[in-house]
Amino acid sequence: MVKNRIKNKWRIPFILFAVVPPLLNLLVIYIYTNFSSFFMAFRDSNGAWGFEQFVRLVREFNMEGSDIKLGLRNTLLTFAIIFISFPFKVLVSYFIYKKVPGYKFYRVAFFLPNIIFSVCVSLVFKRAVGPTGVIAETVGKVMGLDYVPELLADGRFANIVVLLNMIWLQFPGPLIILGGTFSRIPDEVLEAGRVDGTTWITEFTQLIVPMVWPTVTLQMVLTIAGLFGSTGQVFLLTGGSYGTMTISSWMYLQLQQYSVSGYNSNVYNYLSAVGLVITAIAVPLALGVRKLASKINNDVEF
Amino acid sequence: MFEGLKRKSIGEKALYIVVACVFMLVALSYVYILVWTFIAGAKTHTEIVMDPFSLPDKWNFKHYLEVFEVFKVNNSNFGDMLFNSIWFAGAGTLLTQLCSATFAYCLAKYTFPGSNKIYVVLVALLSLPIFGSGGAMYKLYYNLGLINNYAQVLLSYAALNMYTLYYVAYFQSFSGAYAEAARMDGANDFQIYFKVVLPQAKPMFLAMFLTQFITEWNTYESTLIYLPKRPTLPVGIFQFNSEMIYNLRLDILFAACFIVVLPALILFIVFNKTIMTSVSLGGLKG
Repeated sequence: MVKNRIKNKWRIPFILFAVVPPLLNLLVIYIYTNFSSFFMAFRDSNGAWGFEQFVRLVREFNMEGSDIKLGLRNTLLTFAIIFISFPFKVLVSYFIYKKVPGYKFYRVAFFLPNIIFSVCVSLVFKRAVGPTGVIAETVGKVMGLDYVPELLADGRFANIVVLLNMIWLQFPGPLIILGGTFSRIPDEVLEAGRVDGTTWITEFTQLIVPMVWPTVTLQMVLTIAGLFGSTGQVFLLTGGSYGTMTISSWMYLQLQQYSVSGYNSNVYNYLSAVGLVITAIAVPLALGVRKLASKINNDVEF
Repeated sequence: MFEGLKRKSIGEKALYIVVACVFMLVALSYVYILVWTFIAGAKTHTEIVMDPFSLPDKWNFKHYLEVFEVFKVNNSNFGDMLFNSIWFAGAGTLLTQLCSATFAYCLAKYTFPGSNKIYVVLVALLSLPIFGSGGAMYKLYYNLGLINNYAQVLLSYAALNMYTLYYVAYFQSFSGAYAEAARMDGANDFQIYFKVVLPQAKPMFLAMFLTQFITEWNTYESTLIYLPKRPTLPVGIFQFNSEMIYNLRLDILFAACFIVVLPALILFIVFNKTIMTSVSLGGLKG
């Protein structure tokens, strides 16, 4: 890469123009809010320093039917599903890149869950699994029930249905990023493999995946990092009821509930404490995934 | 359509056909969301509730016109919500993309104190799942008077994020030949960037802009908290939902849903190829 080292009077103003506004924004939006959040976690209801919020968290976590405990359990379950299913998502991009029959159609259709806003998707999905639909009727018959169950309003089924909804909607994976990266693989590389008589499995595992490994790993870490901060469809499908609560949904529900009544410092202090504890769980998980990725292939570039 | 099957063994052809069948089922289920929404918008409320998967006895396309009169939330009508969506998704996205692209170009093509560290720090910040700042963010917006304020776009969108990483990857392999030629002709750094580099990077910029625009057009979570009195169309639908169930007008709700989906859908179909082939993250190994 040739860096621009030519001295001219516009060089420094351009660098300042390009770098200063986003960095200032990063300082305010990311650094300041996260530091502020860190300190808020150690403020009690009177504004004094202390561990009141953490004591409350431990107390609520140990209560019967604790939403936070349930949220953590469901979040870790979601993490496991996303982690296990990620290689399949890479395969989806691979087969589309390899022009599986109908690939042009899939390239459009697989992006639809991103195009159709999630409020609409959830409204349709609720009716698809509702008591007037075939799915609920079939589940009722299979379970030997003499009634059609409300799948999203029944603790026995709701969480499974929410997880299946997530698997269904996330089936294509990061198609744009992986597809774009695959398309940059030189044809000669694959052609050479073909001449050597490689099978598709060898081509995928020994040629393509090692070449795009930095992208795959970064994407996987970012997906996992996002998981703890995104409410997904839980908020829209069940509002966290019937055993479906996740940590991010719980935090969002608290924030949404209290934002209606204006700024309420103690609620936000408590949310900050919960966030801090979740960060302490999520960061090692994300770093663990990264370490695992670098063990599989030592060219992880971040 | 079957070009992917050329020069494949029988076993691989069979595999590709099985994969295609699975993909087709999933793809059709996604298309069905759209088709169902469109049909529901032309049914009656009773038909949607009693028999959600049937075709309507009579197609009531007038519901699609009624939306523009009936779809109102908290003193905001369809036009207000459309403006809010365009402002936050359109202006906000443009701001993010310009900031991200300019920052990334500078990082990729200029050497300045700390330039080689910034990218590493940025990736680390984006990869680390740090949570709980929602309360602090609300406090910041509240103290700055940015709750329900259109100016919020300046603070929340002029940001570094995932898009910056895509742009850095793009500009690292970007040919500097035209920029150098322009410099030889006397162009300054601003002229080079805005008149030479950005036009050359148009496919990437367009792909990134559209990807983020579609995401922002559809988002409801942050808007619901930070801009409750400036509802965008998805937030409007979210709030309209309970009202329409109460008023027995699910037909209007789904007609409104379909209308709100259309802009993003049209943009994606028109620019599908640009979006799908212009974006990559990081270089290739080997």
